[in-house]
Amino acid sequence: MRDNSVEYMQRSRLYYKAQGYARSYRWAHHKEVPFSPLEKPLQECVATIITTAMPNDSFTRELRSLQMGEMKQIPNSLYTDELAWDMDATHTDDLDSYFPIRRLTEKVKDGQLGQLAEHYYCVPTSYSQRQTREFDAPEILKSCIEEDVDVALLVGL
Amino acid sequence: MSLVARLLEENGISTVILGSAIDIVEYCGVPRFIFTDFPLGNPCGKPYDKLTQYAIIDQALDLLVNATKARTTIKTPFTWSDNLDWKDNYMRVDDSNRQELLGMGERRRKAQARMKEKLNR
Repeated sequence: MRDNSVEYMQRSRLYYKAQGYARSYRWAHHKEVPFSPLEKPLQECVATIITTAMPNDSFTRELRSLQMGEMKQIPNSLYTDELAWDMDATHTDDLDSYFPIRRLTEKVKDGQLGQLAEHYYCVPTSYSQRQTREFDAPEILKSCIEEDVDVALLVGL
Repeated sequence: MSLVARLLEENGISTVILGSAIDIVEYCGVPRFIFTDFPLGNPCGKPYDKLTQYAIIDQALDLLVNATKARTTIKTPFTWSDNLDWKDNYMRVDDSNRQELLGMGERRRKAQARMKEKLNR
């Protein structure tokens, strides 16, 4: 499956070691993986999107905390400058290349997907795994349950 | 991202991750993953390439419906370019940038220390 895909963990270890960091980052690792099969047709499902990009305003840029946006208000762009992505090889000028809100809106109109949830979520990546596990993920889960979300597309840059 | 997917899935919400860092996502362990071998930054398709974008979203929705077990990864058929230099260039470390990287690290540590000091005031 991986063929000649980039080994990002190894690349990252060497990169930060070269920057003078003594300890390398420890990526999350699990033996067990949860699985919930889809219980109903997509045409009846409520969908949300979760991204690592942030709303494109100065307030949230500085704050870098979990944010929610309204699905009905499709943003022109999201803030990606501080994230780790390949700024030499590509760009994020086209929202549709990393945040599929228009694509999913079309799927709803076409009848292939039930409906979009009220909100999408922007999860900061600068925090620790503990921040994600104990605060951001539970907060997203709570909101998803309140909005009867059935499926989530997670798009990390 | 993977940790969020796992918690949602544990609570009955079906998830699919779209991305390009297959080693990190699979190391974490997630229910469903659409892997596109692109430079990091465009997990939903090439910029302004609607056909690729539609195809990747279709594959993600298909995976939500058809996956029967956890750790199901589907590789999309798209390639970024015939030129594979981007794979070597990302986070490259060699003699040409070693000093520059060390300087970046030092500046970053100083900035972090300043931030910490500010927060502790």
